[in-house]
Amino acid sequence: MGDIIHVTWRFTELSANVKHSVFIILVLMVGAILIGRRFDSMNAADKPSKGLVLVIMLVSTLNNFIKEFYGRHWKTFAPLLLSILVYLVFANTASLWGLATPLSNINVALAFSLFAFLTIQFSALWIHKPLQRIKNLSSPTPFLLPLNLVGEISTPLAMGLRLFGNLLSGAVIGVLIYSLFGGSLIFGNLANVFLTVVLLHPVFNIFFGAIQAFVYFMLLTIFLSMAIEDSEPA
Amino acid sequence: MELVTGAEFIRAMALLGAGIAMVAGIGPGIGQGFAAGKAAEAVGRQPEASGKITITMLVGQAMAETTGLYALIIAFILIFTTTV
Repeated sequence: MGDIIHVTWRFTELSANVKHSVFIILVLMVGAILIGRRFDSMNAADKPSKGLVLVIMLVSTLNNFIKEFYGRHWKTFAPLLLSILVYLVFANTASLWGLATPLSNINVALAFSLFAFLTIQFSALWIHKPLQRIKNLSSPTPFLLPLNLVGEISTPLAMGLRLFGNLLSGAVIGVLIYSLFGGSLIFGNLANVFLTVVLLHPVFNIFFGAIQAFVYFMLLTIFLSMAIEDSEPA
Repeated sequence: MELVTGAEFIRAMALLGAGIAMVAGIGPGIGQGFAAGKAAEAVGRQPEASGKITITMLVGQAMAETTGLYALIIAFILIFTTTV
């Protein structure tokens, strides 16, 4: 038994999805630090460049959006939700740059489920004390407590599996269409190029990927805000 | 004379089961079409709210898709985990 289960910590033995996920995270971190430094070194009178204006607009739009849900707690959760959204948008469209889509590996998808579950539970426990949390979970009647507990587990699980199913199906359809044409894709006839460049990648990588990223962000926002404001002292 | 071995029979039944599992794709199809139709009605009634309607529709459709994706995952499990 002992020699069957052995844990290795070598980075090279991880699957491509996980490695590319780490790579995307590193790129986003460096990008965020560089943009943040440029933003910090600006004076109020300076005119920001076009890219910086875009980032500022994105952040302020999302802040306004999150304020509607979270009220006075918005500053705690806005950075978390924004980074999840940015990561998912880049991760779901990663196959455009020749990377493996991280979320088409079920381990990464279930990590997102676990992340959503822990975020919701710890935030709820931190903002309402445990006693209040138990009261919330056993509302409207204590008989519904088991059902509510199942709901607390199944919604994050469904969120992760939704990401996994969508991206895996996109990847499988992509692989099927590519294998249909063999290796002659780039130098093949125009119809193949049209089918893949105009239909396959925009639809399955950009459109579905961005939609799923936005859906995960929306659902996390909604469920987190529900868990937090459930019992806001009125 | 044996025509089909037990392992081959299991593999064939698993593939058949994967096909049957994807019948669940009917549900999300109907649900998403219904949501899109209602969204079109809503845009017709209130064209100025089309942005919000579109976002609500997409989120609702993604939720409706969940059951179909469960079926898809089951189908993948049936295809890829039962090998002869």
